[in-house]
Amino acid sequence: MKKNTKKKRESAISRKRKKTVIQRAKTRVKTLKRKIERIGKKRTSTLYKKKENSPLLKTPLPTPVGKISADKEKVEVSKFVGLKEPQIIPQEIGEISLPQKYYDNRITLLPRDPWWLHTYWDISETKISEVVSSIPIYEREGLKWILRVYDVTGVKDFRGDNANSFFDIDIHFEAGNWYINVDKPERDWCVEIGFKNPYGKFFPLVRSNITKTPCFGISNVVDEEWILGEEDYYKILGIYDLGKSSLERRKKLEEIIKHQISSGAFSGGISSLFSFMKKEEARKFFLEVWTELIIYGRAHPKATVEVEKKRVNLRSDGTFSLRYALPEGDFEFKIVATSPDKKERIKITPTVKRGTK
Amino acid sequence: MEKGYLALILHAHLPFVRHPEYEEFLEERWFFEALTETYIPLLEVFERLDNDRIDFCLTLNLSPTLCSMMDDQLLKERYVRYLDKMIELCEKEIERTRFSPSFHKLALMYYYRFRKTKDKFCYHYNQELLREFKKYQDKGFLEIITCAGTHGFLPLLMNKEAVKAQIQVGVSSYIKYFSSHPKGIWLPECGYFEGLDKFLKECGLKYFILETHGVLFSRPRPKFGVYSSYYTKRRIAVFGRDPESSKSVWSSIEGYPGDYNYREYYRDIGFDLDYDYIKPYISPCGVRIFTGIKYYKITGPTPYKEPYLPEEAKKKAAEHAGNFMFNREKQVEYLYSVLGRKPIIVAPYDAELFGHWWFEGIDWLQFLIRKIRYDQENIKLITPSRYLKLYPKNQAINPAPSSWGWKGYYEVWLNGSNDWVYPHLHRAQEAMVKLANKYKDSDGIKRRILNQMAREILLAQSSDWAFMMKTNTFSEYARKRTVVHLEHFYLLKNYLEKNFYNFEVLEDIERKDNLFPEIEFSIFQS
Repeated sequence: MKKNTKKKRESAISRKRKKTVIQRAKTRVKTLKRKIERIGKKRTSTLYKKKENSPLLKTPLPTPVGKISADKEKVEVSKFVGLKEPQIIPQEIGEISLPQKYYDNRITLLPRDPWWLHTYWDISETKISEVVSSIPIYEREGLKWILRVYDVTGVKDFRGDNANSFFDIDIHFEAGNWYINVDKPERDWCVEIGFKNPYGKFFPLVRSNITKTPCFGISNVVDEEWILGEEDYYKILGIYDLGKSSLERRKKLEEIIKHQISSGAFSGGISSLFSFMKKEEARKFFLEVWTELIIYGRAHPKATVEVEKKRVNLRSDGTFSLRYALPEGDFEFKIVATSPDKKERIKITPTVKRGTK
Repeated sequence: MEKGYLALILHAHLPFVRHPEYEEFLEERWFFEALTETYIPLLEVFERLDNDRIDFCLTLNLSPTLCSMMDDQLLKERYVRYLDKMIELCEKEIERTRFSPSFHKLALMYYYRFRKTKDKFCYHYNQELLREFKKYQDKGFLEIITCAGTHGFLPLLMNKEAVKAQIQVGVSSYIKYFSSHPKGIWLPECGYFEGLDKFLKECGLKYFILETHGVLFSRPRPKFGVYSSYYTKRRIAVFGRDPESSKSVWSSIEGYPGDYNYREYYRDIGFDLDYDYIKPYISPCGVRIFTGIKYYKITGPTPYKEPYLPEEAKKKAAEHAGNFMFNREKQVEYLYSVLGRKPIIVAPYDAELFGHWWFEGIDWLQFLIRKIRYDQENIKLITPSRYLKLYPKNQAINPAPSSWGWKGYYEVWLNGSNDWVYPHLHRAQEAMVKLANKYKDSDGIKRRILNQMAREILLAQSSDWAFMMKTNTFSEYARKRTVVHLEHFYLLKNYLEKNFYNFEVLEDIERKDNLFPEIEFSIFQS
């Protein structure tokens, strides 16, 4: 009972907290809007409209359970299938909790795999208004948030204008993070978050670290001291019938390997006690019935009681109870009580027939 | 004369789960179950092989968090309590199944297992499991390697001091328990990024293991595929996992563990029996859980399961061990003819696969080791460091960033379910580095606070939390753990900066998150 009320209280608190987060967000949006209005002639509509539509900030803290990534592919499953989480650590030391935002004006770039990057950002209102106010008034209209993704492979000192190439992505600023499909393994990348106006002019706010997508595929570069013939090489990989031309081979090989990796033939996708076998499919409609038999009784507390020649422990008041799995069939339970002085014996034999219609 | 080698590598790890603030804590059972089903049975296998003078030549990673738990007095006491409770349940089960012979036999089997485990743990090993493992290492049969301090997924930590700290803690924890410097390291989740070898070198490590494509995609092309050792530019040896031998054990469909004669994991009396009867043995708040007592075999693709027959299953395990050995022989023969050097087949597995998931896996392992010793001459068991002694000259490569997680890269630990962790984690790490620099000569209470902050950061970094969020198993617990450790971190940071502290709170945190007692916050200095 106590636990329940505690839980309720907790959830009430968290609801409250959520509410305040939303409220805070809303107020922030409002003040920002006002600032922008003051700065620019007209309201920079696209820039902040999105906030109005979705006042719910994606708080960086715990996303709700079950809102797990959109991966439709199988998820390796846990040891504790079918288990709810019964124990929750209560807030041990009040007050302190993680900041929702840091407002430290940074954007961080992480590699996810050879084709995808992940970035997260956290930017203060001051920084936003600072940049907006530096934009000439006539260029402020229709600003929208974008990520500019630069390919900086081989660029020694990236300054913003010397990348090999770049592309832009429209983003929701409030999302706070984004997955970027660059589709190019083994390249160096850098991103900037900023505004872009309808004329295509870009106003960056902050720039990320540089990160590299992992390489993919078997290298063309061969070490002269360590060479194995192509034919043999593919064989030791367990791959045959690759085709004739070397280009054809490479392409096919790449496909095979890509398939193997993503299907988990290389990587078991098993990475701890919590995952191994596939979770059993939830059964549709079913009924299972088992039977048990309880034999219970009472004797003189000092008597000796045996059921089918096995001694039974009596409680201090002389009562006993026994519980058996009862499969199909006929059963006899010979119960014998012997008096403490061994002079008297009482025998009772209940019989049970268990069948299934 | 052998034509090649097989390196069996077991990775034993659990996140640090210890809750003195509760009388009983469900998640501590992960540890108790792994002890009963995997770690202690492994020790028994070692003992038997040792008695028969068989050099089993196994590589075993015991993660620092697991070592901390094995060494923890409270958890030891709780483990004995757990065993007593299981024994009590088994006694009831023996009685309950008296008129169902096939289950009765199994109830007896479990009873004896738990009894034997308790005897071993309490009297034979004197509750000192690490000392037992060390014994076999000292005898030269076992090569124990280390892991990153709290199994943090290194490629996503971003902060070089944080990576270095994880590895350093892994090394110093190892030295504490095994009184020698570790030769190898198991990178958490085999997660590698370009430049990681530099940190390994700084910590004096000699080798590590990667997922297949971590080696296969190296630049330049690795001559021997995954069937040899290589050196990184900084001359740390690297080995790649063999996909073929992995699949036959790992895969629940094509692999051995899916055999119909083996024990069915998912049918457990915790779920099957009458609620009132089983209630004292399931979770403290009454939710049904796995108890480890299971009476059925896999039987087939049907929900109607038949009783488990241990003798039949054991026969299968022997058969599968023979099959595994035969396949490795053929593989080695072929590779030897092509490569011109004796190949090494690297077969790493999660230790908990054996015994816990795959109940017969421990038997399989023992059969395999014995068969390799007596039934053939083509392959020999080896550890990575022994292979390096045979082949000290190796091609230099630049290994490819990778992991052994689903899809082969970092996505398991970086996706919509867990990406919220990184902004917090990265900032906390940076704050830690700054403070470690700023207060570098501190002592007394400040030092205590900083040391505890280091522990909290490390605990928050465990890849297990992100993994549980991803697979949505115990995700609520995982989220709480991440948040709680970071909260502790910030609370202590506050104390430090304001030079004002609640001594009781500090002690309370120290008492709860008590791993790595010798830690020095200076590992975070840049």
